[in-house]
Amino acid sequence: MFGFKQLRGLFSTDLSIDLGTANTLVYVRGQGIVLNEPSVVSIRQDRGPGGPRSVAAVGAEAKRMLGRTPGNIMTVRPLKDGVIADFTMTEAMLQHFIRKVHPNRLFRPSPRVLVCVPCGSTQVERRAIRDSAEAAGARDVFLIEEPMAAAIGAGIPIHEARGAMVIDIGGGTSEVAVISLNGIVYSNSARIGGDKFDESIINYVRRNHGTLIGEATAERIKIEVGCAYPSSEVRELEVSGRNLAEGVPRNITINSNEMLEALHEPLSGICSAVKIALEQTPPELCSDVAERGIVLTGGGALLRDIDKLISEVTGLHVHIADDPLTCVARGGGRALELIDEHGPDLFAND
Amino acid sequence: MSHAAHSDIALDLAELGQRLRRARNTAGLTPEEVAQRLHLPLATVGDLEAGRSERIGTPIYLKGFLKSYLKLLELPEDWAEQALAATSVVQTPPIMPAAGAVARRVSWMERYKWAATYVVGTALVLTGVQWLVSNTPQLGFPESPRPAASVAVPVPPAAQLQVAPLVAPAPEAPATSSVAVDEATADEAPVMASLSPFRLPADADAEPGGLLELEFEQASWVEVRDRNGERLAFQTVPAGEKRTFSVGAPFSVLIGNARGVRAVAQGKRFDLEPYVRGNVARFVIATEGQGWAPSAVEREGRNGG
Repeated sequence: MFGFKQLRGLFSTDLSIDLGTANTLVYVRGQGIVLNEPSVVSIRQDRGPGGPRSVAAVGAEAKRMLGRTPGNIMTVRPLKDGVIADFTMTEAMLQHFIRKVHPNRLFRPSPRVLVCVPCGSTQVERRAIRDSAEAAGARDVFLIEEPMAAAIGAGIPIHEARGAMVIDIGGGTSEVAVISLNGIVYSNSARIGGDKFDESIINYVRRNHGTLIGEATAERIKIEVGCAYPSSEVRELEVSGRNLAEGVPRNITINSNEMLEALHEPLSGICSAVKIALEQTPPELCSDVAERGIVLTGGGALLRDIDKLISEVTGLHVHIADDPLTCVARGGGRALELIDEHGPDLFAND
Repeated sequence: MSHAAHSDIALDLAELGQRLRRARNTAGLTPEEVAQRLHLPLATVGDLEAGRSERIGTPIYLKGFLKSYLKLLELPEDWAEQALAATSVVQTPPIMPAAGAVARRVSWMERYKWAATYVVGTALVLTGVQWLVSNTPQLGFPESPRPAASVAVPVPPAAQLQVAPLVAPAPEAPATSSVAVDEATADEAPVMASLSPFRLPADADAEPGGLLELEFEQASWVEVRDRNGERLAFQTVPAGEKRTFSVGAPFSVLIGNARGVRAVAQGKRFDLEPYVRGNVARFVIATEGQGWAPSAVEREGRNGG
């Protein structure tokens, strides 16, 4: 009954991992969020194609290499649309992160791990995440749906018999869910997120300025001047990119009104997902949502005036959670603390 | 806006509500207009201005509403956080248990309940079996061939040897009641076991014919088994000694160094030579009429291997 696994468990603390497309956050039980790094892995391939491959860098260090690597180093983002696109890389990344938060070198860490999964992910995708975490050294793997973790992290009283709507706009996916009595009543996942915003900005700049910019620059534009709803204040940012016609670097100035136009398409995708969710929600819960409003979490909630946009589209009040980037990881951490006391009510099935 | 004027009063929800109401009146807005602009129910606007938090409850919603209202009236948004910090009415909500539902507690014991029950149950059963085995001498052989044999031997009452107490009650026992036979034979068992040194039973004095006497001229070993194959004697006897066995026929005798032993059955000497193979004599003594008749043992069964 008290086997070797449990014995090893004594030397590892439980982890909650928000395995996001853009960032991976690790919450350690009793310590809070200890790691927040981009989900990027750099692989070095020595002695040409087919040669031995080794991990060159993981996380922030690897992200700095993104788009700037020589031929023998390949930088990949192992997750796409919230799910695993490259199993081996994800495993290597998780292993690195688990080791990083477990400084105990005497024993190989074997923590219990809770991983957040998009509610729209398929069984195969969930199994891939579970296997990947197990291969990275996890003793037990629990899966929790992202909106549920986000709601817990935002401080929504999910145990009440009252509907609460949460929108989690992550790097790869946007999740809309109505939660009541510790369970998800309705959930909808759109594969639109921060990455899609960046992509739209790259396309917009190429189309309207004839200039090619990279992902990192697009992300900077989004953070600095990106906005979702027209406002009286217009911000500007000067960036440089390669002019497509001349083939040489040129500086261009982007303003927030242009961003409004650039982000129109992905944002309308999110809005329609929210509207569909409201249409599908049972009327009792819908009235609860109307009374209390919608809670916005995830990195996408940091986009300027996105709450105003959703509020205008739905006619409901929209709250932005405190520290929306870490909501999912914090919520996962709180759920993890309840594993021993309560059943797997909160967790997702395979 | 005269924000500085408010700063000396402690900011709690009631105070914040009053400030909101004053600011709204200054801005010339009605509660309905505020509700419409903030997409809020009118009752919630009333609650916010009155500083009531019971109906809204959770901090995340309360803070969101207050911040939006403050933003609308162009007041500093951090007032909301100050007011919430000063008012400890609302706390972080518990996640579980679900309202009105029974919380599912999966404790360690509950999780392993079945495994624990199985282990304890198996341990109990094994202990019971162990106790039974150690306290019951012949548990493994409840259907001992002894009663069957004692019933099956066709000994007419007239031909009773009357030498061995073992067989004496056998014919009297009803053949159909194996229980009675069992009891009878079980009662006799200690008598069979106490053979060396042999004490003549009182009734055996009258008829010494039931005795097997062995005179050992040389050191030898002897084994005597009764009809059930139970060993009555198995010992090494030094030269010059004499052993007497009182047994009910048929029984088997095995004598090592047979040439140094002389046998007397029912008072009659008989030659061991026909039964000697190697230096070991094997023979069976069976009843024949009123006497004993030794015969060679077939090399099968126990010694056959």
